Amino acid sequence: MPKVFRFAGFAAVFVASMLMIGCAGPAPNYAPSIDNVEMLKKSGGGAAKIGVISVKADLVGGKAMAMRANTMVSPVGESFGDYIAAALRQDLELAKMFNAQSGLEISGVLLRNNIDAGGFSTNAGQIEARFIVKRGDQVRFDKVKRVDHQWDSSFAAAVAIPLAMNNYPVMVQKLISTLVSDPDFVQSLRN
Amino acid sequence: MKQIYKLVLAALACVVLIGCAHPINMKPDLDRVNAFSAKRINKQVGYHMSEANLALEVITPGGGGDKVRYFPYLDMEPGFYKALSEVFSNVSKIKNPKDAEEMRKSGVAILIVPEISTTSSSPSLFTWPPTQFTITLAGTITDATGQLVRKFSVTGEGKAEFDEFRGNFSLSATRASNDVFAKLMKELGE
Repeated sequence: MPKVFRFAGFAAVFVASMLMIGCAGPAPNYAPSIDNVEMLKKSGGGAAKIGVISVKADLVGGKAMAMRANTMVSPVGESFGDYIAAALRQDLELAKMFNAQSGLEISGVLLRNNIDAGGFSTNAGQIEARFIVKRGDQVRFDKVKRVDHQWDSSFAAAVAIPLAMNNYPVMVQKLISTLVSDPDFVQSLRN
Repeated sequence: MKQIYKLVLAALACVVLIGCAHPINMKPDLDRVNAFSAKRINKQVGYHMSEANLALEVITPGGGGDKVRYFPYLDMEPGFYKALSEVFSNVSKIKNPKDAEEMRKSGVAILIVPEISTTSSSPSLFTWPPTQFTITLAGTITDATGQLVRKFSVTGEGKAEFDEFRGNFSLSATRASNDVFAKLMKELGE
């Protein structure tokens, strides 16, 4: 094989590796959104506990999300449903509205969980979840919430993949924001 | 011919790597932001981080000649809120301290305005994540009339070796955040 083809092949592999290989692993830990916490505090709602946020059967991205040649998993529990449940719990705790003994329970189902990390200039993600508030057997709130989020990205995987990972908690904050800003949800937390 | 190959490879490496600032975050582990005391100072406190500061992204050195980038105020805000909640009985975010109506409605007795500065470094020639990170959290505390009550300044340090990272390249920054909030709670509680 002529040297020039070998060189071209090597260069192609080099560029492909820079495009594809970054460093993935667990998603960054969730950090509460203070705006969500303040909305909860001002809601006048009672304390609630967090039930299970399950994952829709066969949901792609429910347990792991592909990012170019890597995957991201939840740092808590078994799935990203557990991640969202832990996030909700943290927001309620910081608002002093979490009580594991409360009769009011927030649970749900993760319906869509996706991050695209393949774009060279921008990337995007979507989360959709059904949230249910119950007191005993009485359903007080049952709605689907969705968030679409976009961010500037990069050609290099070493930048694009951490950026996509860092944007996942932001997406979860936005998802919870759509929930806590819903007057019906606020009403469901009131006695 | 060999020289041309080397030049092309060097150019490719430059295109891919130069100007590469790796995104990390400096969020604390919130479970560690804990004053371990049931006693809280019975005061309604407010804090203010401007929208400009919350959007501020800074770039500091990593290892191997690379840099890291992060959002100090955005990443630190939840930890700051929790640290204040551990020391004072009630905490509010004040969006505009010059808005007398917002100040009155919130009922804050004192207002804290923090300033965050950071440094990072790594002695490694081949790996980019910072192994050393420092955060200085300083600021002013004023009363409801705007009079200066006191100033404060605490510095947290975080160190992490490469074999500890396990996919978390923000580890030294997280440890520095945990450290600075532990010192802040002690400082404000005194």
